[in-house]
Amino acid sequence: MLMASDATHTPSAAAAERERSLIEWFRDRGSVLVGFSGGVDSVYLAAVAVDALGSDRVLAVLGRSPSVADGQWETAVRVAEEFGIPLHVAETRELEDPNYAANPANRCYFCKAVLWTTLAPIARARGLAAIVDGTNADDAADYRPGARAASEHDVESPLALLGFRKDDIRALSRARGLPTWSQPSSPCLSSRLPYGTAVTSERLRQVDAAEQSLRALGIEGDLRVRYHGDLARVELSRAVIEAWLEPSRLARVRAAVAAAGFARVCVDLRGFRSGSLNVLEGVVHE
Amino acid sequence: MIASSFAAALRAHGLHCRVEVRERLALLTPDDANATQVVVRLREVILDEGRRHGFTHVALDVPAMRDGADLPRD
Repeated sequence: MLMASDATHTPSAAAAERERSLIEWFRDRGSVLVGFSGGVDSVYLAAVAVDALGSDRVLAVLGRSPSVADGQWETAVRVAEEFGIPLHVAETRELEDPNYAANPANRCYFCKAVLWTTLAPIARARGLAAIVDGTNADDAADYRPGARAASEHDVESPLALLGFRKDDIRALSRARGLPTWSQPSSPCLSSRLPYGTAVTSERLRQVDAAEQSLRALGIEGDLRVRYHGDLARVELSRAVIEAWLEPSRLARVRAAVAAAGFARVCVDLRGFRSGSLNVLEGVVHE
Repeated sequence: MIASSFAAALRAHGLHCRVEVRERLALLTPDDANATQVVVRLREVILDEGRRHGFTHVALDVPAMRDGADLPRD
């Protein structure tokens, strides 16, 4: 789901310089496998890699699992095709790992461990010199246990290394005509389940269906359906939340989410917060 | 995190509701199903009071409609 934005996104001179450095960085490596999600960062990274190295020395690999929202998957495939990014789809089976399915606070570590364990042999088999991901400089401030798995598999993060911030990546993506430039962040669906709540395909499908139904109502911007068992807690972008608290719209929100199988529906009055469940569970503090 | 104290604070601001506690989430169910205008007007106050009472999240319960009668349609 691509979203319009009112923000002005023109690359700064510093951002343009970072992009030149990134192109050089890729040329030093010679060939790369890009961990590809179809999100803002990895699409930009793969597009620059293709520019720098040519499409025969780049492979974007998309991990496919129930934790990837259908819309995200469709965007990834469409953008890769449109921009000439060679794409390989690898099934990842993180839900079969009981460490992951138990949904501990470091769940992302187990997910990324499965991902990079799956992708590393592909890079070796194809003779690709480096494996890269789309971690950016802003990500360092977040709680991201998955970063340890990346370092264990020698995955490099050139966007973070070269100081790219999210705004840089959006602006540079826009300048390249990448449709993902204004796409809201879209972490995996498991992030909607509180830690300790087992991750199952059924629950992920339920969350995905609820979010898709809300998008179909015309809700724009950041949007999350947080899973609390029988209760769905809807987080909307702060720019639109008050409009959606209007009674007839609330009724439509409820109907859309209830149709996905939630008995109760509530709307968070603060609105969308990245890492909202981390705050709720005291993993991070505001 | 005391539901009754939070509910009393909201009542003092003009929002009459039941407060259900789910760990650090407070779930508000207004006594009047059409109180959403009050909720919109008081949203920042509600969030401030929620924080003051130890809640990291405050949400508005959206109850099932009774034949759609208690909410207007657009």
